[in-house]
Amino acid sequence: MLGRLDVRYEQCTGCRACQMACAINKENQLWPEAARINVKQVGLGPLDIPISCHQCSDHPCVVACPEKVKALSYDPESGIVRVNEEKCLRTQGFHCQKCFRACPGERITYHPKKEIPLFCDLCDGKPACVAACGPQALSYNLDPCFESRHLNRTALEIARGLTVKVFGREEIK
Amino acid sequence: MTGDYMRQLSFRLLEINLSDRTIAVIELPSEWIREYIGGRGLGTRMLWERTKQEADPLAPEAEMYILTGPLTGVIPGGAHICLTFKSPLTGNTIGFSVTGAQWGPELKYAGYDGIILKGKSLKPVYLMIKDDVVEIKDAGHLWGTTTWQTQQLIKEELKDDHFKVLAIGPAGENLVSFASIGQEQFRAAARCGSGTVWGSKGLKAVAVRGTNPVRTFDLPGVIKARGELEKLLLSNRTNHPRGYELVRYGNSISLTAHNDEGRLVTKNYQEGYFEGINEVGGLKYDLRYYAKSRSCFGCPLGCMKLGMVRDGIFAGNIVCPDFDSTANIGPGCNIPDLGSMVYLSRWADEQGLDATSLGNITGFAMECYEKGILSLEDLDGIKLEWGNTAAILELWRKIVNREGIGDILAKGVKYAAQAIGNGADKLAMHCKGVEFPGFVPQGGHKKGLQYAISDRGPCHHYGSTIDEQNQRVWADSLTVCSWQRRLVDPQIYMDLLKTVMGWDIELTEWDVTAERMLLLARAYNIREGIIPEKDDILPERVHTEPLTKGKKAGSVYPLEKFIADRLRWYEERGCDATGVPKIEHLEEIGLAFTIPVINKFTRGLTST
Repeated sequence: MLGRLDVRYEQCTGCRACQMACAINKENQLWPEAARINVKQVGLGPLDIPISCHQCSDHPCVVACPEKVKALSYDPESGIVRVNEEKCLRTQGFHCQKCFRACPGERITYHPKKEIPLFCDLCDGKPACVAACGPQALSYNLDPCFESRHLNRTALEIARGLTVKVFGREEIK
Repeated sequence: MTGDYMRQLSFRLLEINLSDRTIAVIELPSEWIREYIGGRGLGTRMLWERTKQEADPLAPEAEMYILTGPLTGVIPGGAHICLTFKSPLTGNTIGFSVTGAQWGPELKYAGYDGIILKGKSLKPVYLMIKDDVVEIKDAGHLWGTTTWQTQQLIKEELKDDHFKVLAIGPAGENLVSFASIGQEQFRAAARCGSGTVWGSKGLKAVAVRGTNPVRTFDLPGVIKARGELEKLLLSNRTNHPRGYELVRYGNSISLTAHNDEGRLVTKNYQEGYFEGINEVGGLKYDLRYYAKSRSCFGCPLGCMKLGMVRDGIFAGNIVCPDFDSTANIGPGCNIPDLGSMVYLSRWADEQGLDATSLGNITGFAMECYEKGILSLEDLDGIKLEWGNTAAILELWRKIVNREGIGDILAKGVKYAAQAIGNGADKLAMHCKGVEFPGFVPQGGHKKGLQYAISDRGPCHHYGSTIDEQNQRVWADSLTVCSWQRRLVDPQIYMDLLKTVMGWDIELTEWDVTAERMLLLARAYNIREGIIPEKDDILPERVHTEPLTKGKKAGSVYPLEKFIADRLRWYEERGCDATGVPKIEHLEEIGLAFTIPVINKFTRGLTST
């Protein structure tokens, strides 16, 4: 089993170096939009929330992928969700969003050209994004407890907690 | 390598005419890019070529160039855009303004290297760019909203949070001469009245979303070169003193450092030492208000320090001060309270005002009030005493809405001093019509010199030594953060340019190219009516009124020393004793096309 990407959200400065590193590693292009990790700007500040697949052990996205398609599969060995590009309905021009809708953290993004969903595969245990992260908001956590599903939350939910954490209050103006 | 990738890359610009709502994609002559690199340098070249002599900066035919550089969106910290235009604050000089954050890279990913704005829309509009789709949209419902609200409303309207939005606030709409253009709430292209130009064109905002990869000449080479730069910057977080300072405190910590040196603006440049510094300095901010750091695109340092006002009447407000946005507002207006100072700086960002010019003008008005030049009646009943935050806010609302005294101050400190009269011009700290930023020339002669010689009016972004000027103009043209100059060896940029653009470029070009860009701006100013000898000057106070407090107590910047320093700089830059570039030098550095204008100017001087 691989570890998990651990994010200390209060440390993230929103520079998107992780996106660039990911795109270089996975697409061999300077193409942040095609990265498996995606920094969202939320609310006042703005707060920067890096979002990527959390590799939930119950993988609701794989369950949600239509029965006759089954483009997504879960690899129990590593914990990674894999995509079969040919099977995916989106490559055939359909606007299927079943995996996105199933994801508890609404974390799935789609490739800007190939259309397929993008899942973080942790670079086989050496995540490129972690190496590129200056403020060390990203780290690679090998603690097996860390895969806990409740850590897969949406950027908005995370931002709500983060607001209290960094600003010391819920209501900011 | 095939097709596009075989040749050197050119620049792809969007040309937008707001009058007849036409949109075109144009390519610039490739020799311009090669000689002027991008950003500030290229903007200067375009301003020279594309605009008529002595045009009105706010007329429909006036143009603004929003340009990235070859390294924007490619390297860590390569986030900046340079907006080049004719300055509405001076009326006869170049104006440029630089901003970082994410907008520039996003434009690059949309497939454009820059935007040319021209014409004037009768109704308020905003521009939406999503890759190949470019639309001019109605902004009637956004008119009157702050820069913060505009950004939010546009993201909601376009149903995509990833749009990056540049927007003006009410100040720009009302044509306040020092209006700014803001993005990501606290980032602004503020100086020289960039927002005023947008306001005059009826342009409220430009929203950009890009989903393409960057085009480069030699991709594996670029990836290798940028990887090395990234490694260097990552290590600079801890092992370079300046790098660490930016990571740990951001740049508002330098308020204290400059105060210790006796050159921090205090009470409208009467002093260079602020006694209440411990109450407003960066260290107190770090201890009391700091919340989290933010970065420009790709930069591992993260020098923007987001915070929360946790006490006083402004408690609950989110803030993000830096040196330039607070020096003039805080010590410059004698505000002794951190919460008020940082909130006021945020207020300027929200309304779309240049916090530097605004602070300077407020300090000026306060000194006029103190010395009886402005009466309570002139100020519409506002008790503008030093450090009175409530009065400042009241005055600023009037400036934004152009009411009463606000209407006079909204035209800049030079105009205001003339309009007020009664000796007010002795208190107006400006050069060429642009307000001084945060340093007192008496306390730092080098800063004073660069205020006088700088092409866009006083700024410490111009650089005080030849080396620093070259580094900064290169940074704005590449475009990268100008703070990288202390961390990065220029050779790294040359390697990057070879791979990104496919240029055969050597470090020997560094100084020549920089001089070409700087002297072209000087030639442009001369063309538009600047007389260097008479306009590269400092206000009289700098030469005659000694400071009384701090390390530099008793010092002035003597006129003779200033003239000697200026002459030395003129000579080093290849200009004659009157500050006009020498003809043979212009030929040497590839500015032969400016010679007729310069000749005409010198002939005009000798005949009068």
